[in-house]
Amino acid sequence: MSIRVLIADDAAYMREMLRDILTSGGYEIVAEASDGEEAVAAYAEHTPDLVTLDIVMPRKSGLEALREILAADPGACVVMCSALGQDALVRDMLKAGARGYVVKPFKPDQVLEAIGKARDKSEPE
Amino acid sequence: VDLAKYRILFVDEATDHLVEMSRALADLESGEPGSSSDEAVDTLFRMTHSIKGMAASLEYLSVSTLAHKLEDWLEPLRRAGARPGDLELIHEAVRALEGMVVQVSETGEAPPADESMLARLGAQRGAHEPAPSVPAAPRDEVRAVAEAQAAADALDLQPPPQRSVRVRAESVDRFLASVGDLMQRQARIEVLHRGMRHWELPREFTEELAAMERVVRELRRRALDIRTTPVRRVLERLPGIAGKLARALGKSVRVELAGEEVEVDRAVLDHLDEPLLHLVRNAIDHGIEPPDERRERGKPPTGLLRVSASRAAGRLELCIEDDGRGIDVERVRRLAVERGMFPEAVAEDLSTERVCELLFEPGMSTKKQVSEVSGRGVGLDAVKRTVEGLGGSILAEAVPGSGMRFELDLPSMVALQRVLILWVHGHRVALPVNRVDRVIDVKQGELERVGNEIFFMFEEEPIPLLDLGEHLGLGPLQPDSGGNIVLLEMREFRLGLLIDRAAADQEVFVREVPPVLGGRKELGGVAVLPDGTPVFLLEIGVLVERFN
Repeated sequence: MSIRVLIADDAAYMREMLRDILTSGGYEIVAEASDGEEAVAAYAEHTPDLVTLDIVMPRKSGLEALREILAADPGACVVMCSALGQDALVRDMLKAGARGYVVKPFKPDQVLEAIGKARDKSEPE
Repeated sequence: VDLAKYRILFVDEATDHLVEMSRALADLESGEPGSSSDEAVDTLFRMTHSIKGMAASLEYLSVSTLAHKLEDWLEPLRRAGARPGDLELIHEAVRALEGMVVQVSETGEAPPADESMLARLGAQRGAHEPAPSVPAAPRDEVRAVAEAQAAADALDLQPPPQRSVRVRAESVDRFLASVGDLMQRQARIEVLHRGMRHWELPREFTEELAAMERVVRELRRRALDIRTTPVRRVLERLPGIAGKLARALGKSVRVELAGEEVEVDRAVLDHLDEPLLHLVRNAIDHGIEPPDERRERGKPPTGLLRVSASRAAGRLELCIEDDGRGIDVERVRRLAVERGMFPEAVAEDLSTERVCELLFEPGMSTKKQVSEVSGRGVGLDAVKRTVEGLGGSILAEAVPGSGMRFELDLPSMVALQRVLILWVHGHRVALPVNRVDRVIDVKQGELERVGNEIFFMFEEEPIPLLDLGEHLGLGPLQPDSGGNIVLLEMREFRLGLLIDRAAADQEVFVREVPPVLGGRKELGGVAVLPDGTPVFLLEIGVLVERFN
């Protein structure tokens, strides 16, 4: 079974890029969301194995979406996507329960590595 | 990585973002203080942030650096608010970014850096507020914290308005027409598929078919979203027009609007302008009294006109109500008698409701005649025709005490279709033009009969003809003085429809066939022509099946 992923980013460009990178890494993209609210709804609908969540999104921010997803499913494996320089914010996200983060601009091997690590953390010991 | 693909995505999305940024700037310039300006600054910030990220990943460093500078520059505005002088510089930065995106789209190369714009953004910032010095290394801790703080602030802001893009109405119409076409074909495929239930179809095929059905349904839902627009678009003009007209007539009127946010099919709305104007003009011209007369009647000198919209079960209800002098029932009765519509004895017994209905009769509708009555009825028959053409109905009601009330009941969604009108024994039927290849003139001698079948030679090929008169149960056609053949567009074989003649094609609103006729599978819908005559749409697939 391939790992099922939900991609949430308000930029279609970034979604496409993540889709390409993750597909090349053998992941299956089950849904895409273009804002935080859609992300929460899509998570409930598809219960993916992994979520990539952009931080700056309209309607509901990445942090709000993260909290709602984790409230509904404490085992959710969420990886944050941040821009360079959002370090403090990323620390907040990790504190709030994100499993990892990737930094834009995306480099395929870095993305796959970060997501692989996040998955390892979430596997039962 | 497929760079060309990302370049196209970048150009598309960055262009959208820049349009939205211009709009946000326009909002800021309109000077509405408060939350809307916060939203506009937030939009500017988010869009800039997004352009920066995309450009960086494509290594368009000139673009990402400029976006980065602009982002830094916008950041304090989110707390302090924008000042008029700031907007000009943002405008210029947006224009500079636009130029760069155009260059990327035309050359596919990274554009050169805009040093002067960078310098200006850097210089102005110092004047704006004492913020951390700008050109810091990306990993600079101070700047990173500041940026993170700004982003954190962004998270606490109100949700920004929904994103939108400007699209030409014509493109939308064409897109929607294609969706309509797709849905028809999909429906046809479903019928064919049901006919194959005893066949052994590969499972993968039926699964794909089911998946496609779902996608088409989803597409339909989204297309319906695109088609709807708030009724505000037609309602908001009314107070201005009403006020102007009232002043010209030495009257005073106050217009109350309600339900402007109700969403309705654009196609319906586009046709409501005229009828609504008609009703509003009527109310002011003939309903609302001059201030003196109103005072005498114990009414406030300013008349009231209420226009409200509401939505119930897929219908749009519009109500136009005034507190004017209302309908003069006696005079309408007398006029109906004079016009020979009723004998006097009958007219006397007509209820007020029935008298109100008479207002929509064509005979009652010229201004001279009706203004003798109570001034009501100018063009009301035209209003009624338009409303019925849309698949709706209109009702006039005398408000107890005073005034008139018009209720329009309309479908909130309609299907617009281009059809060819076919005449058969004096009856009309409609055929969707997308099923028509061409219309051909024929004379008696050109038809060949072989047993019960009729053929027509076209391009040296015998084309079987279906006599529409016979098929509709109206009796066979005898095209002795000449008739028309409609050549149908079919993939597998050619088939002609024998008819008396074809009239010009036109757009009609198609509604479902009433349930009482639900069994007639050859009827694909019903539409009302501009002259008020209903016509049925032929479901050509069903006819062809029977023919075969």
